[in-house]
Amino acid sequence: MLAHALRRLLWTIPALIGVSLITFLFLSYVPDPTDDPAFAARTAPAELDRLRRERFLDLPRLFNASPRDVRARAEEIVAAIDRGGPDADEGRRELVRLGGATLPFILPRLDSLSPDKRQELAVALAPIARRMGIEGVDDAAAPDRAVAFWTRFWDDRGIEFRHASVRSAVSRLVRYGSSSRVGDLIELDTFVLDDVLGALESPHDQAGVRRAAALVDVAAHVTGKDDRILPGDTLDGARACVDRWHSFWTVYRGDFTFDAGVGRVAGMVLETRYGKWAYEAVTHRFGRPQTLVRDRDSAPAPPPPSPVLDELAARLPVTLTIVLGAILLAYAVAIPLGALAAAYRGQRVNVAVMLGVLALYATPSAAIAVMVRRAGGGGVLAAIAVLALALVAAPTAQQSASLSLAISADHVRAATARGADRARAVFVHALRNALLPVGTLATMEGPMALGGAFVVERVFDLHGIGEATILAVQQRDTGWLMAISMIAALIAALVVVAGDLAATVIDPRLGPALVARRSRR
Amino acid sequence: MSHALVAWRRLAKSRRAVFGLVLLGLLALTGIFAEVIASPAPILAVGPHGIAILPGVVHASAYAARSRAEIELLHRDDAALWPLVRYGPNTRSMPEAMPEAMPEAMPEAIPEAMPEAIPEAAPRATVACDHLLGTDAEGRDLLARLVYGARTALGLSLGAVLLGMLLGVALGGLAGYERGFWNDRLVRLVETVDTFPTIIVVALVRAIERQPSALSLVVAVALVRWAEVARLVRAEVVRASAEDYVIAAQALGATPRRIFLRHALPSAIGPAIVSSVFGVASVVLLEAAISFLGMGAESHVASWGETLAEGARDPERLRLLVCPGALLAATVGGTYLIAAALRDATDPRLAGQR
Repeated sequence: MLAHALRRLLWTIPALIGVSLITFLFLSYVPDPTDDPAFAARTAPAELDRLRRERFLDLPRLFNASPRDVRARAEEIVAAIDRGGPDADEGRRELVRLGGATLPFILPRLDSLSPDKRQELAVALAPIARRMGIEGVDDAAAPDRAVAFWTRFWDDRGIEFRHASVRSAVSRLVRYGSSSRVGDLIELDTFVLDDVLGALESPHDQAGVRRAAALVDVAAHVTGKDDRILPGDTLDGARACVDRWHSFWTVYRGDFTFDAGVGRVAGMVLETRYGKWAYEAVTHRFGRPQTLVRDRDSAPAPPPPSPVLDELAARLPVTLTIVLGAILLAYAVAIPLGALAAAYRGQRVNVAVMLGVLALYATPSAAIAVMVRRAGGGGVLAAIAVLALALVAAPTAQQSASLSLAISADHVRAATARGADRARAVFVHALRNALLPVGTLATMEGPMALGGAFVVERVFDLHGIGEATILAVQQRDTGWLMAISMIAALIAALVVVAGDLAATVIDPRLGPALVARRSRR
Repeated sequence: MSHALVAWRRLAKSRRAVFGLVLLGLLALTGIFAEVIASPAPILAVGPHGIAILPGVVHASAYAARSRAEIELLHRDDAALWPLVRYGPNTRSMPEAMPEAMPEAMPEAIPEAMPEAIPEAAPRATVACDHLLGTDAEGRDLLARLVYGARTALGLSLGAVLLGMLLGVALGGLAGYERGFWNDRLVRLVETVDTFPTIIVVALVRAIERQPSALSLVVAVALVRWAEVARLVRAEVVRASAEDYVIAAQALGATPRRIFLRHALPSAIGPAIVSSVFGVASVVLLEAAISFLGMGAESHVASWGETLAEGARDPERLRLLVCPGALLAATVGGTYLIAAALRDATDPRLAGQR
């Protein structure tokens, strides 16, 4: 039976991936704030492109047949400059942004262009040379000498554009740290980003902050994105900066790296919206809720939202306590109540009990909760009690029905015949047989109680997942909704397994039957 | 005597079923004929322009734009039969909307006491002759909101449950009939869907919509509801196919399709109906909870849950809580009683009793 439970637990993993896929596909139709025409009209097109890119809206949903890596982008730029016109200007700007990572794909191809286009391309590369800080920058900017400059550059330095050497330079920088190694890395420009940001770790102490600061300096220099760890920054500030660089890399990795073979196949899956989400989920605690910065001028910048998983960890216990507490309380009341109703079957007590629990079930929890709140009640205990009221009805009816079947069983009659009084016959002999259907019911109660839990959370001002979920719906925060549906599926799967185990504890005869039924697949 | 007839007779004899049917029937009639009970337009107007029956429904947009005084002006020559509540669920009684809105062209046509005689109630008005239960924070008549709320509650939950039942019977029947690969997949799917919280599915659906609509709420609830029905139907079909009468039918040469449709499926319909009627009760409560949380249909659609939410914000006026609460309790209680009676009536194991 334990092996069976373990196998079921393993099966939840593909089931969870399935749930995440379905939910993701569903949520990919969420209207994004950037789709809002009013917002689009207020924002510059380039800014809008950047925002859409950072929300992965430029990527396909599930499968990217041709992920765009730096080689593809470099070739596009070369083609654009070759064609000339307005595309060429755009290409030049893009080339400067992509920087040194494009050089291994552009410089060897210089010869294939016509002389004037070759010159144009070489001049367009001048800002990169300036950023690299190599000598002879003036040559790179001069139209007549630029081509010769870059040909010589590639002959001399092409050998340095190897990831193995970059990796060792980065590891030396991390270990010893010195300005000359920084210079070595900067001379390769954006080509080093993959290794630099790969080595960047969230710091835990001051030494870690220094290491991270050195790496961030290199990255900030080559990308022109002025986001550094300053000497006076606190540990938290440094962590936030590292986080920002990591999310930058999640978005723009494809601009600066070239994948071949297996990496390219992985890119087909990872360079998609789902891939990006899954990557964030695994490496960055489900990512942070993305917010559009609408007012840049507003003086106090809001603190960055905490990762979804942290938020979930803070809120889930509240809701779980309410739901589980309410179910336990309801069943603790319902089982004796049902026994009472069954013992007095067909009499007034039975009718009174049944009508009572029906009235509790039918009265909306919202109304009761608000009344309790007005009367001065509050806190988790009040929430549990209010939610439990609505949950009493179903188990009471079930318990009463199954117990009255069990009471008429032969062994109970035998016990009565031997002189057991009525209470002993019901509670000792009949109850155990009647518990199983009630237990099964209990495992299905959770998802139904969740709606009520959201309501009592709202009324009693408890900060559970209900509050956050409603907020997420209003702000169309897909990250939270994804996380919450995965958690719900996970808990549901665990509850099913736990229910099976509990059933075999109550009734050992069920064990073999359950295993047989489940493994008939 | 057929099984359905037996069940029907037992149902008719059951006191709780009759009580529940009466309760629910009244509420359903309220919902269906909401325009007759509460509307700014007359039910019947006979006048120089001819006979107009329920003009508020026939020319809905024309009437929605008019204030009450204008409508009264419109029908001043008619012999009109007015509804009990002379407000719709969205008729706002704003004080400033009054005298300016009067048509200037025919001042002499205005009965002298008109604007003064019908004091338009401010928001949060108390109980008065005009507004039997007062108004809500937006100046809408509470009784009218409650009447139309019956339509929302019953319409939404019946729609969702019927759709779920249709899906559940079809898929559950198919799984019981096919028994192969798809059966196993379906069992697994049902297990997953059945344990997935409805409220989260509703939240997901709400998130992808620009405008919240009632239809999507129905679909969202049905997407979860079908699993329970499918589970029941499948189990019943599987059980029935081992019964003697099915084996006898096979021996007589009936095709699998005929056996499924004539012998296995009918025995599964009973549990499906019972479960669905119980489902109506829980979906009514769920709809109220969703509206309470502000994730319901648009706010111009009246809903008891929305009124409850307003009651939660407004501690002064208890009736904002009590009235919708009592209506919800009556709906849920009535449905539950019917469902319980139906369950006992259709249970063949209890056929010999009573």
